[in-house]
Amino acid sequence: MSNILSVFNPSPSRDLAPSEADCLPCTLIQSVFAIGGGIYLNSSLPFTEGKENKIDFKKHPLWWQKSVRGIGILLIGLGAYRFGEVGQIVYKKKFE
Amino acid sequence: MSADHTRDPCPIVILNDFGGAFSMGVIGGCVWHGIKGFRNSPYGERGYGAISAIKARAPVVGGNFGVWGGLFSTFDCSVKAVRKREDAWNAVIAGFFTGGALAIRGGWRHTRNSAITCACLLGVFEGVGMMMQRFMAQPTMAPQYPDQPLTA
Repeated sequence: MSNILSVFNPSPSRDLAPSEADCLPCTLIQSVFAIGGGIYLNSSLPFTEGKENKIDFKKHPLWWQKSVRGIGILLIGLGAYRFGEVGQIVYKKKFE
Repeated sequence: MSADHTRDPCPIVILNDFGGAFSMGVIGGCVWHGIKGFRNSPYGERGYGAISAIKARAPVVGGNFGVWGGLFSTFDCSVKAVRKREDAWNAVIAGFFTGGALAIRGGWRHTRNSAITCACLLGVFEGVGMMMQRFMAQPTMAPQYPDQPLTA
């Protein structure tokens, strides 16, 4: 079912079964998304504006830029961890 | 707890949500900008004004909706995978991240306000959805058994 539709028609709460947690495409997508998002947040792209690529320090103070970059590093870490889990799932499927 | 095999894997659900949100945005954008273009055009040019407003703006609205839907679905799947649980909090957390991520270029105040607003809105939607489900559910009635014959 769609994730958006399940907001309006919520299914009962439940824990995910191990077979659902070992979903290869889901883990791979999350890994790619986390690494991509982390790289984007670590670049200066979220803060620059216009053709001159100037940073408005009132809108984006230094503490904010550092926090966003920190979140970016965490996301890259999460992506790498999930990529490791992708390897584990593939290994389990091939050799066990 | 057994696995739910009726669900598609996350990448397909994300694509599905992106497409659904895009279509919804395009349809809504056609209605909205059609009326707006019609009203803002001079007499005699109203039909043409409505069509050109739809052509110019409806795909943009669709794109905005699509980005929101795709991002929300991606965050929802990610939160579900990290928490290993499916409940109402997933949507609220995903809404918080979606609102924040979409507003990040607007500065820290904009990001904070947008994330909190989006999370609250989704929390309200979830609550209303649950309330409606309870309201629409059939009341459980005790089974009616025939009277037992009297024994001597």
